Amino acid sequence: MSAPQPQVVAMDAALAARAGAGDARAFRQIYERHAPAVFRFLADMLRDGGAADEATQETFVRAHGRLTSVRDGDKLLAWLFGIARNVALETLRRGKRDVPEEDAGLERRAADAPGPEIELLGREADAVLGSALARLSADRRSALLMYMDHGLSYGEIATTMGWSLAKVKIEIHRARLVLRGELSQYLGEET
Amino acid sequence: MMCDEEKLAGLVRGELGAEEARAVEAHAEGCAECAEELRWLRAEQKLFAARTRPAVPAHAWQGIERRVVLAREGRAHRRRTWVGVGAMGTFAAAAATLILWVHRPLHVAINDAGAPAAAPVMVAEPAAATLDRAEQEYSRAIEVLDADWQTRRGAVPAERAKKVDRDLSRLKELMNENKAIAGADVEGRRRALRTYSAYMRTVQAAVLEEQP
Repeated sequence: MSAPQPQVVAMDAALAARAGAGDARAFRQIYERHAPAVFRFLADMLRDGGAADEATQETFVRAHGRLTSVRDGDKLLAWLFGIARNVALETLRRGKRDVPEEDAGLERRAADAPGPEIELLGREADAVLGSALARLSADRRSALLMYMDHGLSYGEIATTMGWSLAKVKIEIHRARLVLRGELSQYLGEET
Repeated sequence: MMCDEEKLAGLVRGELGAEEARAVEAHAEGCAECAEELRWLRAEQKLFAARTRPAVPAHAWQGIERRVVLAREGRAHRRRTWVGVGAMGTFAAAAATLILWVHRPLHVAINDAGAPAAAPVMVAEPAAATLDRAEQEYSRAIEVLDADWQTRRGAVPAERAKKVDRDLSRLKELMNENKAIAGADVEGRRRALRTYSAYMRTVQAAVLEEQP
């Protein structure tokens, strides 16, 4: 996934400025541009459609109250993910239903795996990915999703998560090992 | 070129320039480890791309609109409450100081039966010190209310704002005059403090009037 075009970032910045000044239509446009990504991110984080719906609403309500804090050059989607991640963590804490499985040994499993030649249908991809995401801690899952699914750069993820660049790289690397372990298992079952 | 996982990821994500992309691909062709990494990266990308895309529930926007309105009303309420509780709290503290320490210089001791004891007992704090304390608290309350008025003044119709300014300016002159006239005289100082109180009520009314 490639980085967003500069005109996309500029458009987002203009919309954020207008919405921050009270322009309701600009806020609606922000919602229409970014709600699908925010909802998908939250559905992956929470693994529950109803909770993701509620969390998406909460994310945009909080965003509305903080639009004036969007700085020039901020990527709006990354900024929204920062809020969404907090909402997701609060939701998970309330529900206490995010218990990642132990991922030790996955590095070895990934290394021993057959090659990643793979053809997946949508539902298979959902199942494999869902299984891999379930094994990750909430923060590691956030970072992987932002990087792999939403195209954020390491730097943007570092800003959003409040991590160092090195930590972002390590967390994504480890998340990938889990993902590869899961893919290997899927491929092993297929063959 | 050396093995570089980030460059390989950049290639898959389409983040490299044409020349750099060619160099990375050429390296991967001759490096079994990087070739394997590249295959995994492409498989991961394919996995994410193959997923179904859930649609945002249609009612979500209406929910957001409703909650934004509620949040805005909540913020306005909290702001009003802040003026009411914050500045008024300071105001009340100042007033309480006067009530407790200036207007009630005597403490009547109560015996076990609930009847006044034979002799009233004087409060230990001397009048000058209590007046100093009251004046300090009134001054703090005035500072808070003044600052509030300055931040909200722009939203008030110009004529009304000018009138409030004139009134406040005149009351401030009176405060200073009365204070100077009173000197160390206790009764004079108590009268001067009433001017402080009038000032506070005027600025407070102006601030509260402006609330949405």
